[in-house]
Amino acid sequence: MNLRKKLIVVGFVFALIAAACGDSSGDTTTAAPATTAAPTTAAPTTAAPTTAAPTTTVAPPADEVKFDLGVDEDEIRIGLLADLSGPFSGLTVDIVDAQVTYWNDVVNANGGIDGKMVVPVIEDTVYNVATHGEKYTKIVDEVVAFSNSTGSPHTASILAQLKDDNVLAMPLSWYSGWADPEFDGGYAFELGSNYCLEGINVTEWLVDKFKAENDGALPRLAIVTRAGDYGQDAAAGVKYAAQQLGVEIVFDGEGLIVRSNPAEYTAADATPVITGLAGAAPDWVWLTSAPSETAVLMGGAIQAGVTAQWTGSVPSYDFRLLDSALGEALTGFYWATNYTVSWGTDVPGMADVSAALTAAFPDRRPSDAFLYGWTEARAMEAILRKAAADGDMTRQGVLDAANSVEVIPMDGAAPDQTYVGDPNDYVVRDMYMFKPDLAAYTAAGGADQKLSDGLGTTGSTFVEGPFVRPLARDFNFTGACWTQEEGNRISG
Amino acid sequence: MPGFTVVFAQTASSFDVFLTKLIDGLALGSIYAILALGFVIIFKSTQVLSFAHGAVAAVGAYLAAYFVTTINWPGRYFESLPATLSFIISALVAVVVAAGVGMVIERLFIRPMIGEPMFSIAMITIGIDIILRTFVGDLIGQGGVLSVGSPWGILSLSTWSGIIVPHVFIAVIITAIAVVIALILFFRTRIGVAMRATAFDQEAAMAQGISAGKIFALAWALGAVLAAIGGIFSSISPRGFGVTGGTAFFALRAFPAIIIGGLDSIAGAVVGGFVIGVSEIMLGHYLANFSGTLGLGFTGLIPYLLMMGFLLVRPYGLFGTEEIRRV
Repeated sequence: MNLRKKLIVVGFVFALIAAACGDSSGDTTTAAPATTAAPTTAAPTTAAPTTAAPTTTVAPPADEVKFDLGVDEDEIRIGLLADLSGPFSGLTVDIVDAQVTYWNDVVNANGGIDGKMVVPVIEDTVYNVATHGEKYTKIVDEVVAFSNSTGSPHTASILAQLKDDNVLAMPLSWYSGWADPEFDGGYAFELGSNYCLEGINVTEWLVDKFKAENDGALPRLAIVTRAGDYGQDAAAGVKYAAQQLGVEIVFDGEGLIVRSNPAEYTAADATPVITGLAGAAPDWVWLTSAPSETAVLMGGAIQAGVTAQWTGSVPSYDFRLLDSALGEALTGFYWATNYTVSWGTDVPGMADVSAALTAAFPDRRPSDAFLYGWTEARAMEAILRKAAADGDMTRQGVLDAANSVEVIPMDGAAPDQTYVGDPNDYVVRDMYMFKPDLAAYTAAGGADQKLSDGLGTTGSTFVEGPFVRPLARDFNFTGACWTQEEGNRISG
Repeated sequence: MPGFTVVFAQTASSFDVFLTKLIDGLALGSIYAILALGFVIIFKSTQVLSFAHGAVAAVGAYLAAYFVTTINWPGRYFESLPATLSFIISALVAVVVAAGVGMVIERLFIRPMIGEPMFSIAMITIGIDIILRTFVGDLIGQGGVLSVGSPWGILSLSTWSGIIVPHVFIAVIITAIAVVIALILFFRTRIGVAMRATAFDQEAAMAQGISAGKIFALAWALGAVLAAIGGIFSSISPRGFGVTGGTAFFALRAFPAIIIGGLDSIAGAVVGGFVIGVSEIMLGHYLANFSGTLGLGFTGLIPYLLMMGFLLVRPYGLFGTEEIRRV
């Protein structure tokens, strides 16, 4: 073999290895929360884990509160298993910082809970299932509950341990299985609606909107989703609504968002989907994706001549996409759903959130993710106060409290939450709708905004919410809409 | 992974669609051709196959994104400057800086290796690739994306009788044509002739007073310029959505172009680039219905499958020089 051939062989092998491997530390799974757009550079606020040893239950006098793991005379320790340096860190750093701010400035500054200070014990899971399990094992004996467990497959991977340890966790994920005791064993307590009900609710919303603007004509709908419990849970809901409303699905891209390289969704990966969309010529496209995938798909489809409106599951959109080349297209064609209000929406709870976070992080930009962290902390606070009021801050006491707290008020920042009764009774069906507005975002300073400059905006103009359309309101929720084993359980 | 089927309500196969996809392929081929030209110029002049080419492309794209997005230069000083013109100025500066990076690489890592086995130099370029990719990756952040903006606008399309042409396609095709013309003119200049002479016979060229070191530096600078231009266009929709950890790998997809065209052929790099680009887009479109069988990412494999086919049938490529060996 001569030199040139050797070089070619080396080059070929190098190119193949490089193309196949790339940066393999990225997002390798389905599901989950919002963004792969540029993460914030601020270091997460990480509370130093305590080293409290497991204890036996302290039997208190009749009028005192009993406690064991994760609680002592002075502190209540709660765990956060968050992606602080992985692909979703742009979201979760804000969420964790909002939680910590809430515990410090709202709860502890006002005497704590039953006189005990709440101490967050934070671990970085890097959005890796194995690391998630390791970090869980590392801190589980120190905490009474987990107020954040980032990711669907990640949280699912620790369900058996949650049961063994008899400990509550709040997933940062909106899979419909979290409201299904058969799936989660009653240990995962979700916040807000879920991918499936969101799909039902928002599909009817978009159909209503299209009909109103097109003399009652029904939209030709396309569905493009990831595979797994994120994308296919949503697809089940959208297909159910389409069936009920008589809407034709002209392109069924359920599970077609697949990365050939875990680090990046490329134009080559998107080619079959964009080809399908261009051929189907839909009026509306439903996406269940990561924001980086939304950018590739929406940008590529528009440049291939697709002239549809777009909407999708909440994590498909991140306001930071307005910083990208897609900003103009988002403003023109995308409708952004949310489980909470967006930053700056005029609701009673916003003043407290913005004041506390501005004081804590004056140099950070506004973020919708702050509201997720804030509502997570509010929910956990309500549960812990109920447990304290019931005189039982053991893990079982906290679980009992979660199942008995009548209402967790969110002051308009999100739908009120409860876990009392049958899932069909308490599951959240409300959604919010926003319109990305590049002009408003840019006028406010765009990516250069600082909380200290004023309330600011994430460029999401309020459209409607909380809203529940009849199909979602009347849907009989009996369990997860989609499971790995059974597939779509509600719309065939 | 569930079973899936791509369902088409309408099968797009009209002549208009064919032409639309042909222009799409030519636009993609233009990027590949520009990148392939960089590979070939470095190889032809220095006999070094640079595996750092993709990383240099990423550096160029990052520099452009830094000027355009991070510091908004020169737009911040001239608010009335059209966005496209501001982008072009930023990109030109990024390309010039990338040329400097190429020269530094040559001076620090390549020139000391003159006379050493080619495989050793190839390994050096792999090391440079890793260093540069890590550097750019750290600047962007894990999973991060740094936008290069939308100089021709995602929504800027022209349609003629059903043929859809995004304006960025026109921009990249014009750029490729300009690059080829510029290179043709360059090789007719005094220094261009010196470069060709050095590539043809290094010792004879040196005997005529040509500085091989300067020619090597120039070749690496030219290669870096072309890599940067390719990297920038590969980061603009619909090819990419900003500079990411994967930007460097896009350039490696141009590697099959130089194999098809011929490792030491300027014309071959251009032809190979267009062959790869048009094939990738056309096959990706017309075989999309078979993606359930072929796999959703099959279009990314097309350049390599073509390369393997050419290696089997014509190992020196369409225009490459066949080595004559005495037996």
